[in-house]
Amino acid sequence: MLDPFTLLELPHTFDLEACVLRGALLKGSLQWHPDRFALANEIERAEAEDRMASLNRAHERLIDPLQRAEALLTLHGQALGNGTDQTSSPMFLMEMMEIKEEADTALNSGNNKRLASITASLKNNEQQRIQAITLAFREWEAADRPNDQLDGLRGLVTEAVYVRRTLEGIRPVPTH
Amino acid sequence: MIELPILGQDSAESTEGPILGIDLGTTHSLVAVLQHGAPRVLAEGEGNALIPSVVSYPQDGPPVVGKAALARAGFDPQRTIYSCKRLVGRGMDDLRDELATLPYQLVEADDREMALIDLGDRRITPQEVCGRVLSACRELAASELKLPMEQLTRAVITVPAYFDDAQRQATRRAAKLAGLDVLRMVGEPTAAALAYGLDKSGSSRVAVFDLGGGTFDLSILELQDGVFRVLSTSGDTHLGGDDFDRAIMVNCAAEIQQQSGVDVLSDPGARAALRLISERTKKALSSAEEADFVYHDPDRGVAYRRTIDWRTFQGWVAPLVQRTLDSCSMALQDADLTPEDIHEVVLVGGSTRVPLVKAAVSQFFGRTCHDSLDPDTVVALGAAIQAGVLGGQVQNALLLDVTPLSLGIATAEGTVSKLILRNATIPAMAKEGFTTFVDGQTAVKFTILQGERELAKDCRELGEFVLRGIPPMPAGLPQVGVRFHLDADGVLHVRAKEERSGASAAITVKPKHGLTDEEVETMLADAWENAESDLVTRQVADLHGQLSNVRRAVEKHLEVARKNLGPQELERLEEAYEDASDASDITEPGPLKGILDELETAAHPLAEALMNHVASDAVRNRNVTELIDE
Repeated sequence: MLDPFTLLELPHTFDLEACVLRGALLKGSLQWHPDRFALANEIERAEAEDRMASLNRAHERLIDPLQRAEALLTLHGQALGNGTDQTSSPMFLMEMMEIKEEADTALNSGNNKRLASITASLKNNEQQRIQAITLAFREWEAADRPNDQLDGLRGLVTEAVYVRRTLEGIRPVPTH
Repeated sequence: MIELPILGQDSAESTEGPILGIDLGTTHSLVAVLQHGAPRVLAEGEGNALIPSVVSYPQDGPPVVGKAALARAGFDPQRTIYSCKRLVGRGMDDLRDELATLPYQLVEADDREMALIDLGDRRITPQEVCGRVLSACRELAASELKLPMEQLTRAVITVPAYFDDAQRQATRRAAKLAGLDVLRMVGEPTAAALAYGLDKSGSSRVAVFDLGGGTFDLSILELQDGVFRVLSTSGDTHLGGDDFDRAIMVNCAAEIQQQSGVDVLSDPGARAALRLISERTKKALSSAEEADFVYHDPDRGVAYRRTIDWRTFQGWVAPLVQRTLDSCSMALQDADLTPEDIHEVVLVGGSTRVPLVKAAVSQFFGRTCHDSLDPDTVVALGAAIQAGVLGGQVQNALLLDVTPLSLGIATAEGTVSKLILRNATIPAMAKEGFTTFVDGQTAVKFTILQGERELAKDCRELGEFVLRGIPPMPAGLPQVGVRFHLDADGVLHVRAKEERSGASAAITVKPKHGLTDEEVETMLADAWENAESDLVTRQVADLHGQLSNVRRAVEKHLEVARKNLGPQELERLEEAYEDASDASDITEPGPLKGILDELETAAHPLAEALMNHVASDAVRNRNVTELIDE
């Protein structure tokens, strides 16, 4: 299976503007959309379905800075494992666990206001981390991608993904 | 050695007729084709292009479709099925709200959550009913294009953008019953945008507000150089003009009960009649300040009349309109836009004729709405253009549609693991890994869900499948990879594979709310082929049906005719009536049509005489049968 950059015929770089990604997807769509193969035989139709779905999926991954960073790390042999790894500091893990507990308490007591404020602060946290990742990847690319920086980059991305998962794990108070 | 089909030698291709563009509507359906680069809606002669989406199943004859079926609604309400589109891919639980006002009976299938229509002597599926309507579209196209039916086998069918997988699958199977291969299902608002935007260049963002007979969609699209990209979509597959009618009906029925103590809704015939009166009242209120609602049932001692002003009507339907605006907000939010970011608003669907709807949408988006194309036909025109895109006649357009609802798998904890999120561009794919819970477990069951809620029980279950043949291993060791593929029609395909052993499941998701392919095949073999191949038989049956309607109506009022008609008029009517009574053996459509026409013409004076007996404003603009039928 091809990596998302290659699928969309894009260079392996973090610096990809939304309009560049959009243009690449459009180019692929004009060539591979199943509408172009409506009268073709079954094999060709199935291939177009697969190709187009892969292109859409690739675009979805690259448009999100976190997943784009993950994809780049994977290309450099640094695929992210599940959850955290040794690079995460105990402080960070403690902080996340506390936030999770706080959210659970707020959920159980039906405290919507508290829940909203926890969510907002986590979102802010995620955004700041994405900005840091953006800067770090730019510097790494500018320095000709030294291998010894990869561990640090993976650490940054792992923690940001963890923040996002925590955020996704917070459920709103049921309305009825 | 695998034998591949030889390409480019398909001789059938050259004899294929055009790809049909079909708008399968809740209230009526249309068929359009692309001719000389322009889409054209097909109509019978000079007549109306709208085919009522109504099928009637007479006790002693083949089913009738369209106008002829509509004419039977009054006296055979329990065997005359309308709004079948609201039933496809649905279970009884989904339909609770409307059961009380439907004149026909619904029952749940024994082995799945699928609503069936109970005709008394047999049960039919909503797919079959929709199939009949689609068949009528195909027949109309055949007769207007002067092509044999065998050459009209391919179609683009529009569906509400908010249709879920079960409803899309059901539509596809209905088409199969009608002998149609669906090359693409397109969202109705998307099709409308295509019809509106074909000649435009440049870039713009458009909101399409589509409120039809039974469904509501709101889609936001970005148009650029012929590419129509859907950014987000929202809607409600159970919100439309039918609900406006029902609001009038329920309120008036409550008042009738208050005044006379009669529960009119308890009778199927009354329900059918009240529905028609409610619909007429709603239509009248689109252009007048007030309209009269008149209902007489001498047998049960009901004589009800009420003038409804638009303010009262507005109060009744305001909650419905608010629901459409809530959907607008949601779609904007999903696309990360505000009303000011929308350059154009397009109104589609007959229910956007209701002034309150038009005003509310204009106010919401802060701009006047486009309604230059007929809201009834614009979707069919778009379907024909999309047919041209698929057929290669239209080169400069491409539709990029999205899925309206998230797709996922139920987890052991009862939550949903979402694999494809709503508003993802289709075709879409996702992969997810799963494992076993018990040592030596050799099979894993998956429940597929669609919806936005967090808990599995709150989402709609599409079906389940089992991956078998996993070699016995300790719990947690097998790696089952499930691959979801949501195709360009928004229909789900699932593949699963155990990575260590390579065991892959031949998966057929057993539909929870619809028919399997095999069941469709059986139905086709059982009943459809014969009925369909013989167009003339159907025509003759239709005509006999209409003839017996008029005959029955005349018979009922013969006394009035004898008292009120002049001798010549009476003689002509009696002669025509006698001819009609002797016509039961006629099997040719031509002569039968002649007899029907003559009887209708001869019955005109009778209709007029009757009109003087009844409140005149309630009966204006109705045809003879409808009138003397009451």
